[in-house]
Amino acid sequence: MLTVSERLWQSERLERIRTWDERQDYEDFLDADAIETLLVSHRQSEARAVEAIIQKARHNATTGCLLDPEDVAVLANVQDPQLWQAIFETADWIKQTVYGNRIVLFAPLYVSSPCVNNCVYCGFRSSNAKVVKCTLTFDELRDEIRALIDVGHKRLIMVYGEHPGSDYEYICRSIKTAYQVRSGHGEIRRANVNAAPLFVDEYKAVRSVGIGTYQVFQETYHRSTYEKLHPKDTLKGEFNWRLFALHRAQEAGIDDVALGVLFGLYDWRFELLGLLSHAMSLEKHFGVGPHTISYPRLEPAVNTPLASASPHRVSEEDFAKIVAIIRLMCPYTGSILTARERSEVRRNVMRKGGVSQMDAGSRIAVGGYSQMEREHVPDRQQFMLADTRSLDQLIGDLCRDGYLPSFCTAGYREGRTGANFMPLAKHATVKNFCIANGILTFEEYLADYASESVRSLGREVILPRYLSWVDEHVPALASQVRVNLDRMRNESQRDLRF
Amino acid sequence: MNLKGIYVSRMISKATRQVLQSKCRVLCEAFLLDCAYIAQDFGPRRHYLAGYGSLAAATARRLTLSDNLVLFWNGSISPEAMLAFRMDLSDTVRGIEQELSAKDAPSFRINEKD
Repeated sequence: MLTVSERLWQSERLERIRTWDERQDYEDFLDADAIETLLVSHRQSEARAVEAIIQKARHNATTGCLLDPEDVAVLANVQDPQLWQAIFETADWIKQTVYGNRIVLFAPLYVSSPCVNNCVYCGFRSSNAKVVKCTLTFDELRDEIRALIDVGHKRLIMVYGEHPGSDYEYICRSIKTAYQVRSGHGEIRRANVNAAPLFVDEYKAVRSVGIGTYQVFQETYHRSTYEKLHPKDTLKGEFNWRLFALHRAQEAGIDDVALGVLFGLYDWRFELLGLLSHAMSLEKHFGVGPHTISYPRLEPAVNTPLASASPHRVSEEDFAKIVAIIRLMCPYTGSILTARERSEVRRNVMRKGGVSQMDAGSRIAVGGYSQMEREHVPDRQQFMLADTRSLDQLIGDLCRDGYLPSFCTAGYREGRTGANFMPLAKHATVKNFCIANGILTFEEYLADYASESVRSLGREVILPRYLSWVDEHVPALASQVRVNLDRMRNESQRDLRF
Repeated sequence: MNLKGIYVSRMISKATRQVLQSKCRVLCEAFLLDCAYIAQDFGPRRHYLAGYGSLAAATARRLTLSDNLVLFWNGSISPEAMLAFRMDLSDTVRGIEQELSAKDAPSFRINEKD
């Protein structure tokens, strides 16, 4: 239950949000009737039509165009296993074409869990007394950051509940703190943020501390489902406030924004078209589409029956389809597959779906990294993680599958953000940076953090393979990559980048 | 479909962006650079503001223009020429600094040295 001061904070904020909603004049990009009609009218399509869309998606990989809503409705209704095989192969091909065969690694860091909202599916909802909620002090935060740095992480997604104790000022201070921690050769170089929607001035403050990407997941684009799951008179109950959260972020100058859906709340086919509509709106009005798209599936949580019993829960088979369609419909976007999924599912989907980013060695209890030996702390978690491999184990597995593990954060530190980044991703030249910087950051990991077996695998198999790739595809860069590797190995230099 | 205009999303005005594009274009054409662009420096993040040319995979050179602004370029240019360009850009830089300070939230700004 909320305290008096929490209720007061919520009601004052709610009043401001409703005033905003009365005055806002954003174009409503979400036409639910049109989406439902499209899905029904494209329930059955000729194989030729599907093949034409697949070809179009391949073409779009180097133009950056999105698929049309009709195309996505057709793909979402495909039944033929052979056509699905072609879609999966295309998703992988697009990912290889745009980003190369690298996987960017990051860690989620749950900074605060108290939340004034009461979302039916969420373990952190205010009425769930069976989950203990807490907000890290800055000393505790430094301990968490140090634990992450000491296993090799460079990139974070910092996650916050919506609460007066973790408002935008707390977010700013915690990000500053994260950037200030140093341990050995290590540091956090990119802090992405997953937090509640903010007002434009609040976004400006968060922007000013040098964040990476700002994520706001819509959860579901189906308005009536949204209203059932997010009680009226809570902040999250305001659908439009969330729908245009990233429009406001763009207005505040945050030009790397990230979309997401919690799959399992409503029909996944509808949600895909919601995501596409959102991406199209951002492109239309700001010229910059989503930097990443996330697609978490609803997972069981303590004392949260809906999380296990939703009629729209997504099967593993459909989950692979969702991820692949996202890759085809929005070829340039980063695609994030999280440790909510079992390791076998991740291995399967990352290839079939054209995944480009994964978390690793994750702990999702607030304060969980300081107690790494505990994989789960159910009474402090929002949901249950399925893949609890350590960072080193996951990297070993990636290497055995031939991927280049990457901790690259070069783009946003070299001014390749927003409108400067998009042409690289849209014209599929970003992989030239990705592979070169992937090599350098992987060498940092191998030198400073890897186990003996991973170090051998990395240096004997993976780095030579990707150096050959650079020799072949970006010869102008090849000698500088090798010079930088020598400087890292012989002079202990770090953070060399293109 | 309801067609509305482009929303205001930038931290600098369209006019300022055009000035920066023009200055960067002059630099690129004079010294055969692949690209030149200006970013706002937020410590770890250098946030793109405007520029000219095509990014190539290479080591970008960079020059600090002020407390908050950084110039990046791909290509070769002598230190003397870059100094001259910096002088030429100084009034523009001052103008951008004023524009940004009016729109930003200065209380939370950090630098890498913090």
